[in-house]
Amino acid sequence: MDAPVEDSDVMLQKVSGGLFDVFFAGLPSALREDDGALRYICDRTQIEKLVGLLEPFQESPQLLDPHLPAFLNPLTSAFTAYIAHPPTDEDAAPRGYYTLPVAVSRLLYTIVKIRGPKIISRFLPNQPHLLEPVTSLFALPITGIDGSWELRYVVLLWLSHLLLAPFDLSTISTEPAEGVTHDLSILEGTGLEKLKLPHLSKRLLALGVSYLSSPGNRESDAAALLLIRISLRRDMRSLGLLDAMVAWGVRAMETVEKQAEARTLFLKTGVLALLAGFLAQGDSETVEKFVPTIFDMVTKIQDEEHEEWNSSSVRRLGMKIYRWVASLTLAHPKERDYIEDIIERLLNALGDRDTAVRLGASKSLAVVARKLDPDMAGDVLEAVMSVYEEDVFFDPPIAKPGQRQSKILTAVTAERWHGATLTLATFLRQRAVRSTEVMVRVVECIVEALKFEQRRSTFAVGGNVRDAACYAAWSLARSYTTPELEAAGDIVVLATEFEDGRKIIQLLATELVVAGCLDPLGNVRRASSAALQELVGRHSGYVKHGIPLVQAVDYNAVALRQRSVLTVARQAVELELEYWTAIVFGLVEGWRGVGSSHDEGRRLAATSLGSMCRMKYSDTEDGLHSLWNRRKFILRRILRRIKEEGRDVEIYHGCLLALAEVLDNISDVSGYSEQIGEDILSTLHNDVFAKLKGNELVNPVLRPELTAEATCRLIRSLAHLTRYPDDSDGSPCPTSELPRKTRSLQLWTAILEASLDRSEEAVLKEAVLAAKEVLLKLSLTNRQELLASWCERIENPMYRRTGQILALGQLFDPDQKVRERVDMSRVLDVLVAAAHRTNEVEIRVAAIKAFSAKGWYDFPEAVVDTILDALDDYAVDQRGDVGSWVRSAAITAAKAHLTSHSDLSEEKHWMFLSKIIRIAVEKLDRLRFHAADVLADIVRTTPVDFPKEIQIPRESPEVYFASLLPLLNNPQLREALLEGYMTSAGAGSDSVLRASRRALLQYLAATTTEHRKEIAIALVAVFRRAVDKTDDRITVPLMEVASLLIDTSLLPLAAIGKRMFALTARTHFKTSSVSKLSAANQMYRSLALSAEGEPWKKEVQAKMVTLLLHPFPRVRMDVADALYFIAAEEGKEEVAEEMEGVDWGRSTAELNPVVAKVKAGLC
Amino acid sequence: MLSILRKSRLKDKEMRVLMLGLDNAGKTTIVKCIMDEDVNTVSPTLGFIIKTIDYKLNIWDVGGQKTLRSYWRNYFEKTDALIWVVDSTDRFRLENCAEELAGLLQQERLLGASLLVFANKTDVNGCMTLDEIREGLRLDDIQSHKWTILPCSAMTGKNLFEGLDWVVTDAKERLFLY
Ligand SMILES: Nc1nc2c(ncn2[C@@H]2O[C@H](COP(=O)(O)OP(=O)(O)OP(=O)(O)O)[C@@H](O)[C@H]2O)c(=O)[nH]1
Ligand SMILES: [Mg+2]
Repeated sequence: MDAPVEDSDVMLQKVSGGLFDVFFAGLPSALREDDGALRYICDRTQIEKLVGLLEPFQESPQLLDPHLPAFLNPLTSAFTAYIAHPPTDEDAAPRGYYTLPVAVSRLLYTIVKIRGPKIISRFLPNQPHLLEPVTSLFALPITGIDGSWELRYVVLLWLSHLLLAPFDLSTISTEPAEGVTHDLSILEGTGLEKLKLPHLSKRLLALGVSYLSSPGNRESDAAALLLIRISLRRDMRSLGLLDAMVAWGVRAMETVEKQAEARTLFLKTGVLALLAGFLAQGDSETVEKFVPTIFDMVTKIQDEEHEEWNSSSVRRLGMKIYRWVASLTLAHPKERDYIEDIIERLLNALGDRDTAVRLGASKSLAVVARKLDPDMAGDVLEAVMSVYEEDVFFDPPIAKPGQRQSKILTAVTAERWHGATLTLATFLRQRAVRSTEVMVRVVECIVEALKFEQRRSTFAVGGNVRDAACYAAWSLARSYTTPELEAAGDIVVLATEFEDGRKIIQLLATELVVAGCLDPLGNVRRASSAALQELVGRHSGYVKHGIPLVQAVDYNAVALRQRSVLTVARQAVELELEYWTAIVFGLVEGWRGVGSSHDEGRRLAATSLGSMCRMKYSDTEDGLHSLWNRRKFILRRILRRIKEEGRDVEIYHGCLLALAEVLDNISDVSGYSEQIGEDILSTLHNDVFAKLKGNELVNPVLRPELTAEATCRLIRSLAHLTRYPDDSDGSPCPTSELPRKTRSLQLWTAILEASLDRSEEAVLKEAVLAAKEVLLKLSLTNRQELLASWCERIENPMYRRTGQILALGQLFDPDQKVRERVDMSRVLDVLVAAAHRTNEVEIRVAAIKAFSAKGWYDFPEAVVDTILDALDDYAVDQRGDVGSWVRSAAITAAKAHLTSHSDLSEEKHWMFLSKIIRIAVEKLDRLRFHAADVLADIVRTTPVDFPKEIQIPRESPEVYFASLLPLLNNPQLREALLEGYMTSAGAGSDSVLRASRRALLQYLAATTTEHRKEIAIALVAVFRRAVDKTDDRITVPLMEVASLLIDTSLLPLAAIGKRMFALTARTHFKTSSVSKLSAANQMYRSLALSAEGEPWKKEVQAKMVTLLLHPFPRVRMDVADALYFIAAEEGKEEVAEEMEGVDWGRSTAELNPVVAKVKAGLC
Repeated sequence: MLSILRKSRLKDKEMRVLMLGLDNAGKTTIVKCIMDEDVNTVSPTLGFIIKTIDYKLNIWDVGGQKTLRSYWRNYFEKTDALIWVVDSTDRFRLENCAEELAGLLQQERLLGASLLVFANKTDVNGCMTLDEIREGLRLDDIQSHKWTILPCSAMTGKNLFEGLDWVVTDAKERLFLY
């Protein structure tokens, strides 16, 4: 999976200045009139536009910081100005408008969402006198507060900020109007003397309590904050408010309802947030006394599995409360000990199914552990690390001495690993890991977590674990000094596969390099890169080639998987053999390389392994320091994996591809086989294929396409590099080699035959390439037989495959040994026939592809004609324009022929050119560009008189079309070009249609009358051909474009008008196609209007009049519209009047009299 | 992890500084001088003022009148540094000033904060010396907090930025390895 290529941060930074300018330019006029007076209602679109400018900063909040005052001051000042002079009229905001408070809070909320409520609060006005009027906003429907939760949220937030005022509320509270009361019945029985509360605080309490249970998170959060602030105030506390609120809260939590209503759950969540807030924000001497009650209440909900514990928000708040209880009691130890209980609960919550709860628990654990004495903190850490051992199985379960034992993680809980890894990270940030010995174990856990994956049936989990592992590595790098980390000395971590001891810093760096290059998830690669940077930056000199390493495994470079696995990995590996070894382990072992669960991932890994074989260091002959030892090392590792895990189709696929890549990369030297050694060679030829029984290539549940692709790929490499003594000089194969040779060739041929019968593109690509290598190795008779059998199969009318056709194409290879003593005329006949198979478009495509060999083969005329025909393949079926596949293949084939054959006649060259140019101006984007590319190539070598350099710019479709139109000057190309052009200008997609029309109109307007006439004549010729063939693909768009050209007087009518008319009449002869009729009608209309003084004008009008009685009402109406217009243009008012108000939908019988009158008037 | 890093990048930058002292000590004037605003228009603060310097230093200036002092604790949360402003010309209330400061330093929630004492108005002739104030406030007895004292003037701007530098550097040192 890929991360966005360019870091959005960086992008945004570049453009942010501009965005801010637009924002500042737009803000004043959105809120105020030109003279500075407040707008009481604000244009909705304008406000939403401003909101839209801010949204992109969601991901990069820090960019807003420098501008916060400038953003917020106009908003808050408008708001306070509104409060000072609220509007007097009582109307709600009209459609399309916001009231000012709603507008301001839309914007404020957007900024809060980006930058967080705490920070934005600081900018809210805090004059105590605002408390009253801001509270009153809730009682002012005119503000729009009932319809905007954003406004309610902002006001609640503002109130909680105002409550920081260092005054007794009684001094600013005014008495209410007569009869105003506030429902505080909920505080009944809490011992609160309500009468003593200042009126203002009653109002605030009522507000807070009512929004605490709001379903909207934001509102409820702000209400909780408001209640926390007010209850913790000195003056309110002394009136007993805090005690009352806690009592109320605990009581609210205890009410168990049979049917837990949604609203109750919201209330309970709100109450928990409130209680957690009390514990977190109150002075310990004030809130300590509530600890037992609150703690018991929460544990009861958890232990008795109350309904609400199913809510992740409730569990998250529970973790928070545990944390504060622990903090409070650790600071002032009491008789009762909560700590152990709490730690146990937090540890269990590390495996919670909800990420936020896991995060909360891990954070709480770290906070608690920091306050514990070192021994106990160590115990907690132990407990966290033991998570990595839970439910781990070993394979084999009991290892014999010296035997490899691998960990099986299928049964572990990925969530618990995630929680534990997060906790490790937080512990590290707080330096809670205090001994070197423990640090080593922590590093082991990080390494394991960094490569954690668990496959579920259709997807894999563990990305979050690996991400957390990067975070842990990052924290470790940041929080510990170099000496502290080096103190552990050389350690061996089994999970790295390295057997020699290394220092912690280097070991982690190497593992991060592997994750940065090979992890399938873009965000993990990026996180690894960030952690690596921290590690190298903070401990400079302790990571080999640290600086170039960080530059290679760069944050942006690792965004794309392909680039990471191929390029970045190579750059990192070049620096140091240790990185090479680690990357090779990563590619060969585990699930990130050839064992990946993504097909493409395995292919990439194989390619990357291939390039690993070419890496050179300042080598000696020693161990991995020798080039050939390294190559053998890779081969042995892959072969071992095939032996141990080859039953798994995906691993088999990845390993075989990798073997092939490696072989291709090392076989270019003579004597490589001695270097590799007989043992490896024999394994390659025999054992690798040993598991195949045949059905692996056929049975759909075994994913045969993977086995087919991979075996063919390997066969190609093996066949290519195997030199049997009798290959070149014809001397007989020594008897000792014979069995091996025969066995291999039989096996290869069998696999090849099975694979050529498949239809997947990836398989055929490999099978066809393998076919050539195998053909080259077969004995002459065997080869003849094989080819003859393919020819026979292809000729069979029941044949529906394409593999054999494509394989025959390999016979046109430059290496003519492949067709030695092959009956080529038979092969050509078979292929030409296949290229003409009607109704089998796939077969036609394959046959044309077979002719695309860029080669030296001297094709007969028949093949050339076949390709020319294919360029005209416009077959359609229910899948659409399937002929375009044939044309596309034909363009490629044409290129191969035109650029390598010199003996084609000039006539054929012109035919190719005109057809390709035609396609280059047709409506299909893909083909248009393909044709244009090929055109640019072939004109360079064409022997005919044609401009050798042709520039076809692609900046816009319009310049593209404009660049090709001058070719109309060429009589050989003119008609073809016009024909293709009509499909774009008459039936192209919207943008193509407009661009091609503009280009055409401009071209015609700028050219000579003479040239316009040539074009007109050519257009008629195209039209005639299309009409002759009743080719609607051309006729309909052509009529549309022609009528446009006639309307704009760019088509000289004198020469062609009459013929145009005649052809148009033929297009709709007996047709029922409305589109054709409507295009024809348009033509008539244009002809009639432009045919001043032409003898055939009357005929056109007469034809139109007959259409007034066409059986289709739709046609009658269209024609009537056109005729009415013509009559008016010609000043024949009486006809126009006659036609006015006629319902052309009536039956033709009824219409007869009118039509007769029109006829009389016009003709 | 990337989102955590992003957040921690933001957090690294944020610092919260609480500016307290008796009324008329010159707190608001100091803030105004730092923000390069007009220092001649200050009136007693009947509430609190929040200013942000360099997008990362949040200064909370709370009014020092007697009635307001009991609300100071409202503002303790997550304070990185306490700036205690003393009016060097106000010999008469020095003892009162010392008591208020001692009370603050006992507050549990200010335990992590470092303390900067600004001896303000040193532009006025005949004001108390630094040693007088240091003794009067019994600064040398302070064990619980890292502290320093600087003579300054909100009128001339003397030592104000030096004081802030001390606060920031000190906080950074403590932040460095968490
Ligand atoms: N000469 C002199 N006068 C100063 C200095 N600093 C402040 N003042 C004056 O002292 C008076 C009080 O200043 P404020 O800034 O309002 O004091 P405060 O500490 O904010 O007072 P409260 O808000 O009531 O707590 C004002 O008249 C200032 O002009 C200084 O450095 N030198
Ligand atoms: Mg003040």
